[in-house]
Amino acid sequence: MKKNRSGKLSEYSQSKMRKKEALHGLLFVSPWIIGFFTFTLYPIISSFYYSLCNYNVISRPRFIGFMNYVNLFKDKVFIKACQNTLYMILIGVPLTTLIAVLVSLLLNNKKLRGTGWMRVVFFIPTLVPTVVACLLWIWVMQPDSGIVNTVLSYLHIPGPGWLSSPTWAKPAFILMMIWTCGNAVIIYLAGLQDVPETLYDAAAIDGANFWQQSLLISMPLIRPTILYNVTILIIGVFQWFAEPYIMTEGGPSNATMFYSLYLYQNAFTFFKMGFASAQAWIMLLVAMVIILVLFKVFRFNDTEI
Amino acid sequence: MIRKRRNILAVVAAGAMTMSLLAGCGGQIAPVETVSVETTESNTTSKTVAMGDRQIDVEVTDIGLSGSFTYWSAFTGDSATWEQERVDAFNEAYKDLGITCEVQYVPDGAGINNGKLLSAIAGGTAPDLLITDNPTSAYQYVAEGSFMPLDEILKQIDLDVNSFYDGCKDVMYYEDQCFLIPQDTNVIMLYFRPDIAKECGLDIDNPPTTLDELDAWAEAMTVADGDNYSRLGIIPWLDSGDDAFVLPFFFGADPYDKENKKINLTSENMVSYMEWIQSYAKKYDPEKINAFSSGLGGMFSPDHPFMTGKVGMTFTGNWFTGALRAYAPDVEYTAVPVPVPEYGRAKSSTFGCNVFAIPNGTDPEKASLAALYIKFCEQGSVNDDNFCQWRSIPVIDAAFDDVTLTKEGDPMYAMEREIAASPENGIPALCSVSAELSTQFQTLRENLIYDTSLDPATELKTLEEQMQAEMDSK
Repeated sequence: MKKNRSGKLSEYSQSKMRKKEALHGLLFVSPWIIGFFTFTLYPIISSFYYSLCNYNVISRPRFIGFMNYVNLFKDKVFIKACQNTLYMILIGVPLTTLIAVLVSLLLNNKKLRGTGWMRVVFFIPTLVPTVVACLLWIWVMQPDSGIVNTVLSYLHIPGPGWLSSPTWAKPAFILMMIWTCGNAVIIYLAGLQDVPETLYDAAAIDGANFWQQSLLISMPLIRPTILYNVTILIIGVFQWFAEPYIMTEGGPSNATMFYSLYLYQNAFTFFKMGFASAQAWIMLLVAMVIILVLFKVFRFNDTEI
Repeated sequence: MIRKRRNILAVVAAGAMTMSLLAGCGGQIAPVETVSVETTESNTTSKTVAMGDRQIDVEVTDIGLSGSFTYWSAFTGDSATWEQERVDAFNEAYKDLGITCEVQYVPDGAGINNGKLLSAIAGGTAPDLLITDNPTSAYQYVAEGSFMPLDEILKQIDLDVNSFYDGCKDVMYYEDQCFLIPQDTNVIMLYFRPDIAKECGLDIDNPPTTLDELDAWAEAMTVADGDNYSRLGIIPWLDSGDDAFVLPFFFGADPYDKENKKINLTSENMVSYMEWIQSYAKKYDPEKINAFSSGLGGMFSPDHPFMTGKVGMTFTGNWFTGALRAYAPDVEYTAVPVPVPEYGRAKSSTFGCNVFAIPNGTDPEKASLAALYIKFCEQGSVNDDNFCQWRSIPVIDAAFDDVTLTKEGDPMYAMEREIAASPENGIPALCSVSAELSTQFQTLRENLIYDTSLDPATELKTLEEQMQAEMDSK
């Protein structure tokens, strides 16, 4: 029976019908394929060519080899933008992930009441349009009248200048990042709900409390979910543009000059499209390396406890 | 192995998504064109048209062409309302000749500040005409070959720009060709609150004229509140003080030597300016100062620190009078020429122009029609309302006589005229790297403000060399 079936499959895969179906399939996906080649692949390749040129969009590109790449590493603002982005990856991403996972674990706890509406509460900030959220956070972070410093003053803690302080501007952005972690919370919750209930029951019989169950059962089993969210967050940090553009324009003293913002500035304000393209390619390579390391270290797809 | 490959593929795909963000910028090259226009004899007539709720007399020039042209306006809010009235008036005036202006409102700075214009030029979808409030960046667009030389067209429409202020000509001409036409201009002054000055025992009839006097006034007006301040005399980097080269101009600095094509950030005047700025940072703590100025309390909002009485003085342009009238009508204010050091430029000002430009590649006929709009907008009767509302000033001294404020004997407008007439006036740092130079200079200033251990002369030298290299590589 088995042999018979595989024979039929092999016959089918060689048949005219199969080829016709494949052709139809390709025809159906051709709009995407054409779009991909035209609007993604071609621009990617051309951006690499431009990265080797002195190019201002208006006049013809002039080939200068790898000079843009060399000049990038001599550029103090570029180095500062890399440091700022790294700060967000090393501090902002782990902190946001930690808080999102903790919130998800609590919201997944069936013994707690009101988790349904709490999930809604955590998700609501992600529905706020970025520009509105930015304007809101400018108010929230106001040094003399913002809600954060007002609360701190009740606790007799002098609030910092937040967005107007080179020291506190990045932590202010991290707070905002945490505020918008609702999407990650929903994905973590989906991952947590896939964990078999029997594992918790068995652990409970063995005397494990909530935190022990979370640490020893939930966390290892949602590792792929964590890795996915961390990857998305890291890519997000590399692409982070709207928030610093609207809230600080990279200041004060370049404290919030993040990678994409500087890339945009070079491309569209300083007419240095070649330089910006080189910056984009470095971003691609660095993002790839970081993500590959993460995949390796956290052993994606490996979900044994 | 397969999993490994799949992982690499996933990462590459993620990277590709990232790259595609920038990749869309790759556009086709627009060749730099010099358009020659057939000069026809112009025929100018007078007409009365409605502009908003008034009737105004305007000149209409017939150059034997008809059609429509697209126009990007940088104006927003009340200014956009005024712009729409102006466009409607133009369309009414030129209705019989079959000429129509199709206006689109394109912040920020008609797409110059946010890359929209650059993308449009690269993509061949640029407007036939635009106006921007950022002459410095517009000049860089000129240097990059984005705008059309206008000399021939100006002859065709019979618009004489020779009588424009010399200070405005800085921005109009690039390598002896005219590319940008200012609609109007503005002067920078020191605004102070007489009520606060009186409260601090200062003589409001003798406002500061020198830098030392300004510092003394600032100190007298400053009120400490524990570790913070409840009021500051002045924030030197607030409002127009935040512009890159406005205050250095008053110190007598010339950041760009046009003759020798050299960036000059290391003159004594420039170093003195930076040292003065740093002295405020050392004395008052920039983070505490910026607690006043951060957030949404911008120029056109009732939260502006001058309006709320958190600062007693500010450097800003004549438009601030309009803002005060709109958002803080009860606030008393006085405007005086900017105090300067003894080696500075007294009773002078940088010019803050709104400039018209026609992108390169515009159809020659449409360019001529667009130029008619420029000519229309240069008329005193069209601009009078703008002058009255924002106290902007004409680009020709003689045109002051036709402005209602002059006819009414407005003393502040007379002072603006006096300042505008100074031969020292101009627009600093206009070169092929204007935009980057301004941005980098502002960043350098912030660095010096927040890290007072940095030496201004050394930092300025480094930036000068960097920007000179940048300019030389173009």
